[in-house]
Amino acid sequence: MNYLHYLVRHRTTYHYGGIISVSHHLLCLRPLDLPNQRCLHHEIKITPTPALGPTRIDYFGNTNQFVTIEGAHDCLKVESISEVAIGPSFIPESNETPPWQVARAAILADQTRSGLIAREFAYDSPRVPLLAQFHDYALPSFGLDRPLLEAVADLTARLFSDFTFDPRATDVSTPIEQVFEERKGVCQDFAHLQMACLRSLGIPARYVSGYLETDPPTGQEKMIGSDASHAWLAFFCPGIGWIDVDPTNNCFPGMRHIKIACGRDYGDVSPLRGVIIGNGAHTLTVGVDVIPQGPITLPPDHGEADQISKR
Amino acid sequence: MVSDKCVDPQRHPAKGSNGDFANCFDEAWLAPGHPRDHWHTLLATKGHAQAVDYATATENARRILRDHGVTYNATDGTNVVQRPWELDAIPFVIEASEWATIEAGAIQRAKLLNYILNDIYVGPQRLLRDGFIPPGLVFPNPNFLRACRGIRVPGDVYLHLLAIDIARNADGRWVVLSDRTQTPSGMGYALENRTIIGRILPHQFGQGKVRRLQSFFNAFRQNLRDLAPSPTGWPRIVFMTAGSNHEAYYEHSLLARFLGVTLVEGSDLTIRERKVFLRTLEGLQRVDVIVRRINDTYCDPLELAAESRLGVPGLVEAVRSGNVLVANGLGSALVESPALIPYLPDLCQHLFSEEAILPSAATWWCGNANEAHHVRDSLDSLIIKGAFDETARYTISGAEADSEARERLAGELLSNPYQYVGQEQLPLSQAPIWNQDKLENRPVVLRVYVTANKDSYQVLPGGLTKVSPYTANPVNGFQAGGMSKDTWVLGSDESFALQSKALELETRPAERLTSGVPSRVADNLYWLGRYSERLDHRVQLVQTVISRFSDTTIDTSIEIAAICPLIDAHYHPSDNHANLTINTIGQATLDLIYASDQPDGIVALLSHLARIVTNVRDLLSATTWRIFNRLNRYPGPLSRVSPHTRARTKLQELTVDLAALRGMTMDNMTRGIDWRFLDLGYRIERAANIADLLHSVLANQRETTAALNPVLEIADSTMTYRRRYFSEPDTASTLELLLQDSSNPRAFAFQLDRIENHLKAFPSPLGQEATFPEMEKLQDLRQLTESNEIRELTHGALTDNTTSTEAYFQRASVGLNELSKLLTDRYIHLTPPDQRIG
Repeated sequence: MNYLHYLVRHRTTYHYGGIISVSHHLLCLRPLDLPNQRCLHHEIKITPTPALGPTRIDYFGNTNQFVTIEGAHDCLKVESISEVAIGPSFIPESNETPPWQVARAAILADQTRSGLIAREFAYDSPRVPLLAQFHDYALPSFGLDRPLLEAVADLTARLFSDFTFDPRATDVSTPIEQVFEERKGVCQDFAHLQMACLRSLGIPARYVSGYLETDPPTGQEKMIGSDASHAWLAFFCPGIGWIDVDPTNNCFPGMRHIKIACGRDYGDVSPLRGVIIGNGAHTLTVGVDVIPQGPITLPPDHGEADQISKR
Repeated sequence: MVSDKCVDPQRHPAKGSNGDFANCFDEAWLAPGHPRDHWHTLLATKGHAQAVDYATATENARRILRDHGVTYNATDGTNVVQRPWELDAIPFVIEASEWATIEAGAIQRAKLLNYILNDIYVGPQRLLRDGFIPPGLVFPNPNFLRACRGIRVPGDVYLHLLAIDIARNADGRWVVLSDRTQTPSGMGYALENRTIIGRILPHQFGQGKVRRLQSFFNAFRQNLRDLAPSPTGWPRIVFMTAGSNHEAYYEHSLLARFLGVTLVEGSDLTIRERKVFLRTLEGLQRVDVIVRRINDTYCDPLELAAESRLGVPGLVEAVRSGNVLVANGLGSALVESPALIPYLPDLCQHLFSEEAILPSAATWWCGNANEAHHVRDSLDSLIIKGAFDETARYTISGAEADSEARERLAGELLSNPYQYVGQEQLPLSQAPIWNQDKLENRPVVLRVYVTANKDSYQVLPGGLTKVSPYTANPVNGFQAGGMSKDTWVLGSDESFALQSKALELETRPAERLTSGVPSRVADNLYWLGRYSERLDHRVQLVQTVISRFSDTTIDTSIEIAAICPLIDAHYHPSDNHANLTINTIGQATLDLIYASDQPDGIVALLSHLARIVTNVRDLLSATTWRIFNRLNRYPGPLSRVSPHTRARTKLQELTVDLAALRGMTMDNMTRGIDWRFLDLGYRIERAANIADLLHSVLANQRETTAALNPVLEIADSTMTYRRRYFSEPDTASTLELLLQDSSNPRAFAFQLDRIENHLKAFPSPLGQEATFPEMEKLQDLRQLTESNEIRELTHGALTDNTTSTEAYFQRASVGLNELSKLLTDRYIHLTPPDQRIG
């Protein structure tokens, strides 16, 4: 099977305003293994030298790494280096997906394990409140008997044209009510917003965090650090499964989207959570490079299934 | 009243009677004048009066509650306010056969809820898959902790302690209103109620064959020991509180003391290599069991609610690794959901093939369309609660809501139906209380407690009876303040035999109790020492001034003028220009006594002291508390008539109480490192006060001699001076007595001796030898007490050389400050607040 091979360097640096005596961190940085994505190599370099705790697979199938740093320190550098192979993803034709009301009824009636798992993502979550305005915004895309995929694609296109990408408009804690009001935000906001729209109609939607390979402007060298962490979402279609959709780029992700983790919202998959013991504010810098390594052929890997359904 | 969210009762005045009493079950009376058999002891009459003198009993109960300082913290919307606990003098009585049903029902319910937790968190979630519990009740439930899925808890016990609120329906059946599964509160208050009623009604208590409470607490503690990760030896148990602002902090300190375990806050604990340690003065000490009164989601800011600073980062991973037992198990709040109630009967039948012994109040979860419809149509007769956490959203009686609230509620029920339940309003049963001078009936709810024991569960033969503050039928369960009752469960003979056996077990050899003092507590003790000494000094100061105002026998004006600078040093005028004179010092002194905006005044110091004492409440004896509670009554209102004389009387009482407080804390404390910190606080503060006092006097050259008598009085050294020098004070002798004389317990030198003793007794930090910097700092201070230094200071004072005076006291003040900082930095390691990043 033909894959594209990527090398990803993801550097996170915290400079603390004071001396930190102990810090505890929980990292969520390892790319997922999926039918169309393989993590070929992954390592994390941390300074100062930490006490590495165990890695564990969390509730959603993501890999978590516990890290404790003991002893006085005033900065923390985490570099996550991954090699990932991305294969083509299956995106069904519109008419292969059921009318959206039919899909919703099927989800509610589904008592199987995978049905239950989908239900997990059908309710509100801490960063995705289900408010009437989201339902009302989504509704025009969901005409009677419209195939689910077509309806979602239409909603995605509307979000893309109605909202402006503006990194200065929001930060990591901006509620989506404000994003909706001001029509500005970043990938995380748009993903949350579209999830709120879908969930308020009874369609399960989950948050996907990852990386995106970006093109350099024509005629220019690709700049180191010009890529960024990215976020999008996936919705559940009965009979087919989870289908990714990227409202920031108005597309169904293909071979340039690299997945790290899935969850109910950003709060479940935050790449670097931490509690520091000490004084002072902190500054954060993040740099991501997604460096294409060309095509690669991998032997088929039987028995791999969606991590989520392996839980 | 104990609930998970308290509302200040002052804001909810009792409402008029609109209840339908005819419907309600009467707990005590068959007919007017005819009490039921089991109430006879309490309600018998003698002529036209009650046989029991409840007026006196009520008064006694109030006095004891005040002396014990039994309080709960309520919130008036923005601030935490301490309210006295209220206890009715008439106990609530339940007869043995009836209790047997409640007991069996409570145990069955505990088993059921515990089973559900195991299935959802550890098991295959069969109950979800088979449709016995709908997914919509679990997945959007904020109390479903995904981080805890897959963690198997020791002995499969989640609910080490469970509280169930029950009420009696009109037909006489007991019905469950709600469950408290994560931090079941109120048990300490039940214990306190029993202690008090046992004292005020000893005769009736003895006659009544009332079952005892002790064995339940033994079982609770024994079960924790049995399930601890290190069952050999004595596991170290700590009781984790959210701190002194928590509504039930009083209860936490009481229970910690009663169980003989250390009271800690989250910041006292730290995780190293997935194990939990207590930060103590002696270093980190391993913790095996945490009894926590912090909500599930707040227990670990790393894996659970990030915004909380109450918990311990890394705790979930420590639990996951099996290195610590947390009681109740993390995730327990899930089965507190009111939305679960309608599913319990079927679950009970399905899992145990049993009928539910105790029915629940009829409850409709709006996550189902039909139920939602029913609730919307019956708003008038229902109570609307949050489906997952009854206190997080509304608990509102549909009938009582105003039209705006009803509209909002109706909207919410349409857009987020699964967030709500409707529950029937029961006509609560009525029990007699003593109100002013007569018996009155009030609605009651009973909170019963269940603990896990070796094989199963057992129920506290008693509980917390909560009395509605309203005469009318209230909403189920009381969130507003109100009164409580001791709960008397009448026992059969067998249960007496069992209990005496349990009591025998209790008298086995003393167990090793925890010895390590959390660093936070040492910090509080140090500041307790400093503030009580500061207060004492301030009282002496104002008293000395006041006494000169009310002395009519001699002309005190010269002395008053001389001590103006002493008051000036602590007086903070609103316009920043004091320059006190004999005309203004009188008012300034009264301000220092009565004005709450004087940061150095008596009122402010008392409130500082109150805050500190509250933080170490579990370490103080009941007597110490009683004395402390007396302090709370000072200084009282300012008197318009002869204010100085009245103030003087008040201050004299305060002096005596402060001496008693110090006597009690010093006398009752074992001479451990914690006591040393308390005494260090006293000593450093006293040394600083002496130096400040002399500094103020000597800086004011002209009046030095006139000020000497007051200075000796403030330093409580007048008698010593007279005995030693047989003369009116002079500057040289006064300085010698107050700075250099190490036999005078008020002298600067004496304090240094005591400080040195303490420093020598401390564990040498980091393996260093005795030359640590605190000792060096102390030696620097000691130079100030040498004869040549004192001579020079005296000489400077007599020759108006301010430079040498300033230099001397500068050295004293800087030296003491640095010593204080070194001590607190090195030994106390105060944890700065945790921060979350990312």
